Order: sequence, then structure tokens, then C-alpha cells
Amino acid sequence: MISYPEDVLFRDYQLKSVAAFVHGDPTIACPNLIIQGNSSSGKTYVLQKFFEANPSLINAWLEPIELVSWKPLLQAVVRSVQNKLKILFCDLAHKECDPLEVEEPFLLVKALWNIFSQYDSLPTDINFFLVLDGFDRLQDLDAALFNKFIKFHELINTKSKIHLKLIYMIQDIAFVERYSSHCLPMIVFPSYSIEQIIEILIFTRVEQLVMSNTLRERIIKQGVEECTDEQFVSVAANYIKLIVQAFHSYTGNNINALNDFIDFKWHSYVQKITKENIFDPLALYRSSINLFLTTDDSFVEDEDNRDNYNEPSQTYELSAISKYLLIAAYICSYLGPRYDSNVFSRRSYLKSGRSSYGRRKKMETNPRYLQPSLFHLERLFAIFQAIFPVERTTESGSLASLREEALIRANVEVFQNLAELHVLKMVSTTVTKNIDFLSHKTKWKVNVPWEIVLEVAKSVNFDISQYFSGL
Amino acid sequence: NIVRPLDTDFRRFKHHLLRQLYHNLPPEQTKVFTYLQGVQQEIERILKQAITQKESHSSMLVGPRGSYKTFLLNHELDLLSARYHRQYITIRLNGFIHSEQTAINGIATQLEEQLKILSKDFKDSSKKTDISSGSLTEVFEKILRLLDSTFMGNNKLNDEKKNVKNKITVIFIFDEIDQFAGPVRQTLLYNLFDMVEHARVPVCIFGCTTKLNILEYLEKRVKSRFSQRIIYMPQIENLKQFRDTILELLTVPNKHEYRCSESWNSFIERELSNEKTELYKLVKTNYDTFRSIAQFKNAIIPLIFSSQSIESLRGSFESCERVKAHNRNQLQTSWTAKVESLSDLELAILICAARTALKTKDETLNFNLVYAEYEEMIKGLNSKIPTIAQTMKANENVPIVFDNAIKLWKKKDVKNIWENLQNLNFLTERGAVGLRESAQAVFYASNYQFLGTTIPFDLRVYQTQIDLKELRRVVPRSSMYYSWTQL
Repeated sequence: MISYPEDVLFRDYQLKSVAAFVHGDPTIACPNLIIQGNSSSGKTYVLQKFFEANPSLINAWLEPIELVSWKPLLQAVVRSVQNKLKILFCDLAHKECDPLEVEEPFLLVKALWNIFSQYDSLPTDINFFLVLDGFDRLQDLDAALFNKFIKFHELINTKSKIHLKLIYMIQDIAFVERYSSHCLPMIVFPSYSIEQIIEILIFTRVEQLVMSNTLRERIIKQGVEECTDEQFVSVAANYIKLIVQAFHSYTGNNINALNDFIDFKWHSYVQKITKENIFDPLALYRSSINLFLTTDDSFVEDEDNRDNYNEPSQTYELSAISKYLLIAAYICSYLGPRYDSNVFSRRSYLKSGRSSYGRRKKMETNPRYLQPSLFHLERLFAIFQAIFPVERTTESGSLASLREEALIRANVEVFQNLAELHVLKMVSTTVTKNIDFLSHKTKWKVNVPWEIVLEVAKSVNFDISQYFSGL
Repeated sequence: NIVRPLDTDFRRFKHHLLRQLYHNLPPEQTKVFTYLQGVQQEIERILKQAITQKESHSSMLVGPRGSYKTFLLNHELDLLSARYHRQYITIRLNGFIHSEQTAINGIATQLEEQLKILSKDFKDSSKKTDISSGSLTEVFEKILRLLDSTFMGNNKLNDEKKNVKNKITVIFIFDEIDQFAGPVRQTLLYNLFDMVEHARVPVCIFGCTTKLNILEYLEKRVKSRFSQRIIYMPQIENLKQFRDTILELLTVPNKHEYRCSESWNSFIERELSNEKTELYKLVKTNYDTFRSIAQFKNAIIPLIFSSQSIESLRGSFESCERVKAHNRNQLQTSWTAKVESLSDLELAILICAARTALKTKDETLNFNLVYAEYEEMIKGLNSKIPTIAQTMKANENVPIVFDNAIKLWKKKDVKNIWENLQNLNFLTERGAVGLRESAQAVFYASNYQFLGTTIPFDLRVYQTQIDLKELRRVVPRSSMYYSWTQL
């Protein structure tokens, strides 16, 4: 008789379907079962609860994401099946099979055949459920592997007492659809709706939040005395509702992400509880409004907060030359070479000739949104020279000023800094393998987004945005 | 819910019905669908010729997945094993699981295993069975020698007739034989088909494949050795046949074994002959779409399994609620359902992505462009919303602003949404290959650093899986983003 777990919400249909395929009778069981659903739709939880409620069903679990490649997966299948059987029927197993010898799909068949043949003296036939939790999360997954798994049962001795039944949990529907012509039974776990998420979170988290130390301490500190357990529960439940309503658009239907928010903001929320507002949810919400406005989902401090400290923000600790090289590389990548002379030329002309007119029409899309274009190294150095500030140390008009360079040259340091930027992956080249830096064919591009270049430029007081304002 | 003890007669009946659905009854009770019986007889003839007459044959079963190729072969072999179980051994290979190399080991171990069982019967332990040991070439040589010559006993000098009697037929069953018929060499098939022609051991080869042009896969010399017998699995041709097959699937043959079987059979027949019933409608829908018995079985197995009595079983067949729920459930992660389950911000970003894709020439987009589109959309929406003037309350310091505007999420917050949409497969990287076909291709790909992974997050180029026109049909008219589902 199959019993259903009690503490599973909104999964009645799924549980009933699982029960129809996962039971103790090998004569009416399907060798393969697919459980499909997007992440955080309760696949693992429901199945674990199901097996907990039915301890007579033999099951073993594998997580292919930890096994990376197909060979460890095959070996893990043998290992887990063998270990589980050894624990269950310790008096029957005679010789052990080395799981590491399984190096081919065919050897898995052979090993399972050998293992199962040791249990031929069992009184009844039994089902052995092997759950492959997250089959499509295997890193080296290929299309042929699943075919192998769904056909194993045809090659293993049908007369043995132990029947291996495989349950696959798969997130990606596109993966399942590749094998739809096999007509394997599939149970779909749809995403929860927002109402269901609230109910699930209240069901799972309230107790934990009410029992948390932060709440206890705060209550004692504030001297709130007449407060029943129900009121505590309602405070916590209300908090969960607020969190879901505030951040559901941000997290989508991901329960794990919402759980993170609940943990992350609970402490600050509790700090806002006072004697007055604990019974007044609206007042409590108003006093803690800041928590629900921003996600704070970052390890870097927010830009808005940083202004308060008045700290000069420096994203990267680069040298001045590197910073200007990076800025120059950004300009090279995003401004058309046709208009360079109009933008950067400052010298008065000794010979006759007209200067460039520059861009006539505005561009349709902002080039900063698009991928960087390639440039030659000479152009980078030219623009670098144009934008790099050189301070005059000598008095103007003196003889020494004749010897002084008005502009920076591409000296050793410049090349060194450029090479370093390349190693740091802030500038990159066309090909990634065996780059010949000295070849004239090698072209370069910048590899940082606008936000970072803007910050770098700000740190050297270079107004890069003016170069991009007129586009 | 009170758990009542099941009526034992009904329980046995249900069990029988389910076993029938799983084709798991003992071989003599298993029914073969009428439309398959022609092929069944042909397979039976070939097998009998091979086992009793000791003739060598090779043949191919060609049919789509789930067309009962393996089932028929297994069924026939089970039937024959009752009468002739000492006269043949079966070797099964699967093109998915065995490669050209491992198939040799597979044949050797199965030969060894089967001969051990046989020699136990014959009480002839003098035969040494160590076929599967040694290097690959040794093993292959041993198999060939074994099969190429008579192998039961070394009594070659004995009477020729007696020898024939002692010969054991080797039946090879290849699933996915097209995997062995690769573009290079086909050594295994060559040797096996060669045995059919030349060996003194009767060898019978069945290849199952889904490829209609299987002969084009075979090399010239392999094809010439193959006996050119191709059996195409019959398909269900019309609705009546499909209905009759379902009827065969659901009726219980042994009328006196269970009390309820007779009334059940007439009930099912009644349901299936009336075009108004839910069951008939489902059968018709299945015929029009999948035309697949397996598909139908998956839907009704939970139905039968969960019923507690013959009345409830009949009731659930009359309403077919469970089957409809199954069909609904199968589509709950379809594109439509996925779009419906998105949060408002995810939907907004998806619409913006589809808009951006429509605007660009090659239908590509990146995060920057989509965010720019999103900003524009939210500003457009907010500009249309009437804002209520700022009112001052009695408390001077706290002005209350009725903020009806839609929140414009920050760029760094939207990045999470962007990744969610990627995980839900709404966005795929441009030129992505996705799942590789073979393990080797995966290995090559894992050693290659893709350009998309080295460039910054905002600039990676994506394509949408669902375009704006499709979104317009899925997004409800009541949604505030509905007006943005067209340019």
C-alpha cells in the first residue's frame, strides 16, 4: 500500500502520478521515468518525501552534476547499486565488483548482471529505484548518453530478482523533447505561482524565523511583553509576504532566491521592531521601507551609498599609463577611424590643407551598446598620445623646453602596460590561441564595458563621455 | 480518506490489466495486436527455420520507435524457449550501448554465459568456456573460430547427422543496427553476415533499426552478404484499426478468471463504439496527433492504478478526467506555460528582448540594447499614467506622494532576470551548438574556449526563442505590457 507524505503542498497530481509508476511490484513497473520541471519546482523534495513516506521502496540517489563526465556516472551507478544492496541483504553478497573497472556502457551492463545474479536466492522480485537527480546537469552531456540509459534494462537479465528502475530528473524540456519518440512516461512539475510560493514559504520558514535569536533578543530589548505565539507567527508571515511581494518580480518563481532574501533581510527587519509597531504591520513596513526598495544583491557597495562616503572610487588599481591605454582602447573600439582627425587633431597646420569635417548625422544606435570593433595597434598609440597628459616641468621658452617632449612616446613602459592589460583580459585580440603580437595582422579590441571605463576615466579626471555625447 | 481494503478479485483483475498494458504477462497469455500478427508469423517462421531446421538467416526489422520490434522478438523467443530452449542461444547487442570494439566483448561474455547454462544441462563440463578472456583480437578470433566451426563437442568424426542435431543455433539480436553500420569499416557486421553465408553453425541475425534506408548504410561487401530480407513493421492505418487495437489492449481475455472481467469487457466495448464518449474522443485525438499506443498507455496507467474498485475504474473511464489532467500536465512546461509563469519584470524584459530582436537586422540582441529598450518602455508607460499631485499632510516633514508609476529596475538588478531568462531557454547565445551528438564532440568542445565566454556580460550576443508575434498571442490582453507586443 502506498502512503503519501503529508507536508507537500500543491503537488497532489504529481504525487499520485509518481505513485502509479514508483511502487514495489516489478511486474507492473516502467523501467524509465522522467520527472521534468524547471529549477525550484520541488522535484527533489517531493520525491524524497515520497520515498520517506514509503520506506519499503528501495532507492538510491545520484547527482550527475557532481560526476561531470559519463564515465564517473557509470561507475557511480555500479557503486551505489552495489552498496545499497550490500546494506540491505548483507548475508547474500559474496564477491564484490570493482566499480572502477566499469569503463564502458557495456561493462556497466556486465557489472550489474554480475551483481544482480548474486541475489538470485531472494524470495521475491523487487524493484530497485535509482534516481538520477539532474541528469541534464551532467557537464559533459551529449545526446547519445540518455539513449544508453533508457536501453540498459533491455540488456540486463530480465529473469533476475532485482529490477533496476531509473528515475531521471531533468530541468531542460528541450532535452526531454529529443527523446519524445521513446514515449517514456513523464511527470511535469510546473513552476509555482506567486500565491503558492507565499504559502510554501510561510509553511517552511515561519517557525524558523519565529525561533530565531534576533527576534527573541529584540523583543526582550524592546520590552514587548504581552505577545502571543500567534502574533509572532503573524509578524513572520507578514514579513514573508512583504518580501515576496517586493522581490517576486526580481527573482521570478525561484524559491531559493526568495529564501535568500528572507534570511538576508530578516535581521535588519527585526531591528525596526518596536513596542508600537509590532502589532501594526503597516507602521512596521513604513519604518523598514528601505529594505524593500533595493535588492542589495551585491558584494560591492551601491553607487548611491558610496557618494555618502566621498571616497574616490577606484575600480582597478592600474597605473596611469594603463588607465589611459584602456581609455584609448575604448575610444579606438567604439569611435569610427574616419573621424579621428576631427576629434583629436590640435596642431596648427604649417602646410595648407583642410581638416576633417567630422560626423554629419547622428548614429541610429549608440555604439556603446554593441560589441567593440577591432583596431590596429598604431591607432591605439596615436590616440593614447593624443589623450595622455604630459606636464611641462620646464619653464616655457627656455632652452630646456626644446629638449622636452611635448607628447608621450610609446616607450617601454607603454608596451609593458599594454601587455599587462592583455594578460588581465581587459584588451583582447582576434584569435585567442597562439597569438603573434608582432604580426601586423593581429588586431585588437577593448574588453571592458562602458561602466568600468567610465569609472577608470573618472579616476584620472578624464571626461570620456564627451567623446560619446555627440554620436 | 479512509483506506478501505481492496476487493481481492478487483485487485487481481487490476493487476492483470496493468500487466497487460506493460506487456508483462507470461508469454502464452500475452496478446499480440491483430495488426502485428502478420509480422509476428513471419518472425516466427524465420526463428523456427533457424532453430529447428538449422538454417542461417539474416533479416532486418525496420520501424519507428515504439513499433513493437523488440517486443515481438522477445515474445517469439519466449514462446519458443518453452519447446526448444536447449537448441539455441540468444545474444543481444544494442548499438547505443555497444561500440564496434565492445560488441566483441559483449558477444563473448554472452556466449560464455549462455554456454555455461547449456553445458550444465548437458552435464558436459569438459568444454572450457574462456572465450571472453584475452586481448580483443584473441577474443574475436576465438569467437570466429567457435562460430565458424561446429562447436558442441569435438566429435567431428561422428556421424554427420548426429552432429547436425547437436548444433546449436546462435540468434543475434541487434538493436539500433545502424549504429554498427557506420561510415567506416563495418567489420563486425561483415563478419557476422559472413557467418550467415559460410559458417557451419546456424546463425540467425535480427537487426532492429528505425532508419528506412538502412541498406544504404551498408557497405557493398556487407550488403552482398546480407540476405536482403527487410521486414517493415506495420503501422496503424485507420481510426478503426487504432480503436480496435485500444480495445484489444484494454479487454481482458480470460473471461472466467475474474468476476468483473465480463462486464468490464462489454463496458469498454460500449465506450469505444460510441462516438460520444470521452474515451472515444481521446482515442480519436490521439489518432489524429500522435497515433501512438505508448502515448495512450502512459496516460491511462495512472488512471487504472489509482482506481479502488471496478465502479470507480468505470467512472474514471467515463469521465477521463485523469487522462485530461495528464495531457494538461504534459504541457505545463511548454513555451506558453513558461511565459505565463514569468513574473512581471521577466515578462517585460522578454518583450523588450523580442522587440529589440525584431528591430535588428540579424535578430540578435545583447543586454545593453534590451535594457535601453526596457528603459524606454517603462518611461513610455509612466508618461501615460496620470500622476496625482503631491499632497502635503498635516505632518509637514513627510510628503506623501502617490506613486502610481511603474518601478524602473536598475541595470544591475535586471541582470538577474537576464540570467533567469537564459536558464528558462528564452534566450540562447548566437551560434550556440547546444547539446553535442557524441561524447567525442563534447570532448572537443570542452577544450575550446568560446568567444562568447570571454567578452563582458552586457555585450554577449543572444537570440530569442520566442518572437514578438508569438508573445502577442500569449500575453493576456489585460496585461499592461500588451500594447508593447507590437512595434
